[in-house]
Amino acid sequence: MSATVLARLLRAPGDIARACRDDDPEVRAIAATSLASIALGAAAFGGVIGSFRGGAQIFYGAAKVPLAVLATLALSVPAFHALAAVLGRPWPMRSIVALALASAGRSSLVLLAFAPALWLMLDLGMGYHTAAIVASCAYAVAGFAALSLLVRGLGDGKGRITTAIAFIGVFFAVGGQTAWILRPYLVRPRATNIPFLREREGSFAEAVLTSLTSAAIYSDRPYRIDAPPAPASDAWERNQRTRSREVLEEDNDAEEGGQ
Amino acid sequence: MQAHASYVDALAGDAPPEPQEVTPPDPPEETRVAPPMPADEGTPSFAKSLLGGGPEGAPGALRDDAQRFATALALSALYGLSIGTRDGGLSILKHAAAVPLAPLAVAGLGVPALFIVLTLFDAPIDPPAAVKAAARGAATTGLVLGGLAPAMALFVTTSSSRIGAAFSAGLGLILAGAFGLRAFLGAIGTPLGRASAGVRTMSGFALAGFAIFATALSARVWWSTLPIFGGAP
Repeated sequence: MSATVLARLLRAPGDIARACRDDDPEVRAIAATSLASIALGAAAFGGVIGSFRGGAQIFYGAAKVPLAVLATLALSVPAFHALAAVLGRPWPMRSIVALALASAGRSSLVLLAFAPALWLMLDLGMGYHTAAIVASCAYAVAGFAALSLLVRGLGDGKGRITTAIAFIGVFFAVGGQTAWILRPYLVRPRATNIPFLREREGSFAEAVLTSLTSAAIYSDRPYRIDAPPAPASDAWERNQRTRSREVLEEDNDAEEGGQ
Repeated sequence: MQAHASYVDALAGDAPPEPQEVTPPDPPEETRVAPPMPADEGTPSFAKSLLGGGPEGAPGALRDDAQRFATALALSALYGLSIGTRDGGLSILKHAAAVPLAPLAVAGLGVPALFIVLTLFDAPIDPPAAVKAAARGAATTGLVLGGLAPAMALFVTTSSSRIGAAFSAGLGLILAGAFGLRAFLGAIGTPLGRASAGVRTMSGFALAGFAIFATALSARVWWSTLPIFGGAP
């Protein structure tokens, strides 16, 4: 792990991207440093997320987040290679691997930077849903850090934006599915059973669709779980409120196992 | 670097004597910066050799196109292998055999028909150019399918519903088919640019018809032969 390469990953993503693309002799050092960054940064972030529940979940989180990142890279890189080639960038696989590793390494360093702040917020009593949102925001910032390196690495020329969009699409789909099958990461403290992996259920895309549909259905409901109910005017409305409350309670029970 | 070393040594208090020889000055900044490189140039790669083509009519061009086409079919079969992993066993082989059928059918049925139609309009295109364009289209489809194969194995094996798995597999086929069609039309359309306006217009209609035919034929072949879509159990 080279401190110089680490500093360049953060300060000069353009240089790193150019070195990867041009198959520079220092690509080996960049790849090794990026792998170490992924192992360290993603493990630290996963461990902090796991600390919301504590116990074995800390180790599970520390193992699963780097595993998810590396599995996503392993499965996405052949697609990156093919898509870059058909969109006017027929580079060697070696260059694509180095570029993907460097991007993931940079994002893992950003996650590493977020880890202490997130830990402090969890320690101060942040709630389950807020923790999920904050962790997602940290992931988004890390994703942008990776994206800036990746887009620079695509160089000039026709199809740059299309290639970047294709990369993002593939990475999002593969990363989402990989992360989905490696759940749970964030587990409620009251959960008694902590599985390393949850049972196979649906897929990432199906879960996103279900959540969107659910959000669309409940967005126009007057019911709020933390607001005092207004007096119901008739029996039908009372019945509807009871059903909404039951559904919300079911949702909460389903989240017992964590996200 | 020299300046940096001297500074550190000076801080440590045991700076060495200054060298007598004057080192040559660093080259100007602009000579050290790598010249901007177009995105599609650089180190040779498998993808470049698969997608790139030599000049038309060059010796061995037909053999190269045949090799390119065979590689494309092999990469398509790889995608079939990956989507067959959902059911396992013999299904893996069935999928591996079925996926390359669509590019094969389009190249075998559609391209000769398109060539005849274009020749009717006196379009400036010859059989080697049509073969080259077909090989390039198939190579593009195969490359995308081969690249998506590992990710697709993940999707089809980890989706709990069969519809979700079939949807993922279909999405990959559509994506690869679209890229292949784009590459084919781009390759065959290049010589058409030299033709008169009337020929270009008629050729444009022919190419649009070919695109519809190729899409429908590919969908028909994949739908009826791939077990993941319910075909050929």
